[in-house]
Amino acid sequence: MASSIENNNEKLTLKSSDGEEFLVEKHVALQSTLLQNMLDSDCSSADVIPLPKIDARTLALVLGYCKKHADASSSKQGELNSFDSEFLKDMDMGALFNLVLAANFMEIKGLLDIAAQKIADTIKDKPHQEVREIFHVENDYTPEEEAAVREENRWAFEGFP
Amino acid sequence: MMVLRSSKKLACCSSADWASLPEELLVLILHHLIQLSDYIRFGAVCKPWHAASDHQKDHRRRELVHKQELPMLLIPPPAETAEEADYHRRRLYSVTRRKVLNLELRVPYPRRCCGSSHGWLATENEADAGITLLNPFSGKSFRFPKSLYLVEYLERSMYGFGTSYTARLECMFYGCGNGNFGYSVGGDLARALGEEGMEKGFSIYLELFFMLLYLLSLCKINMCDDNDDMLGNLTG
Repeated sequence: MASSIENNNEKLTLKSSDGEEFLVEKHVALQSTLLQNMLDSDCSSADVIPLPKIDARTLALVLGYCKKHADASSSKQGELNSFDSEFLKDMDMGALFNLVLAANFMEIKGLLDIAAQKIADTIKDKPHQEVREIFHVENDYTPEEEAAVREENRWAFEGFP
Repeated sequence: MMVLRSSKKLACCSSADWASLPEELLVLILHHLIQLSDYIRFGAVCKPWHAASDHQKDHRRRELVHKQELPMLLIPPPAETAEEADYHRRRLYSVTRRKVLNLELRVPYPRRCCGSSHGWLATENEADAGITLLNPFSGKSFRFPKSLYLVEYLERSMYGFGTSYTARLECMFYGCGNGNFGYSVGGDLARALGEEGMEKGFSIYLELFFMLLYLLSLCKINMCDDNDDMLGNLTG
């Protein structure tokens, strides 16, 4: 095989927690600091890189994001921004949860940021009881403890139930 | 990207346990909650979230200085007649939410406010032209005489993070009035107090930046007002 082809089309294989394998171009993988570090060290690109914490559905989403951003060097920033805002738009909370964990694990800063922004946008201006429902978070406060937390900063709860 | 081989097993994502999100991620989310009230209510959701917001308080306070949150205004409560009016009471008006919060604070009406930061009001003492720092949320106050040759060590709660939040404020003022200390506008309080202060091992906090500026103004030194008010104030 000609070395020039190897250099231009270097690919690596990622394996999700549920056993699906994804062939990824190197420049796409480099969006992930984790993969970048692995490639910089000793990991041969011929190896399959297992990602035991990330399922196939999430990995596909993550790699979609990486590909868009890796290929975007020639495209406009505005296009990327609109891609970013559409990317998480109708995502359910379960998928978002997996995505933010995956972005954190794979160290993809841009994705992590838009995911955190999305979560924050979901939380802001809502009463904390509603946030619990949206995120399916169990209230682990006793009524007394919760009252104490509210009392600490009563003003922040004004106008909320 | 392409799928090479699939063992076709559908992962279920019902296991999304937001309460146990790693703290670094909770912190990242908190960074995106601009409004302080959102930040505080975040901690009321569950204990792990509260822990994350609690651990970030110091950082948040520092950040507030840079990331401008719109200040709330102190306004007097409505009164029909002059007799009815209680000039010691104030309400908070949230500019961003366009509403008056149903919460009353007590303030020293007759005194002129000369600055505010992080929930503390600085008011002038008529008697000696010194200043008093007052936190209308906790009711705590500290009085500083004008002739300052003092080393104050303060420990108290800070507004914004509640009465349980105890901030250690170590501050040192040298010879105000003879203008012998340097400062830089923009938040470098370490330099504000000069090497001598730092050498003596005093930590300096931005909370008192505005106060320094005020004191400097007494020294008749020209300066840019880079005061980062969190709590605007209207005075009578």
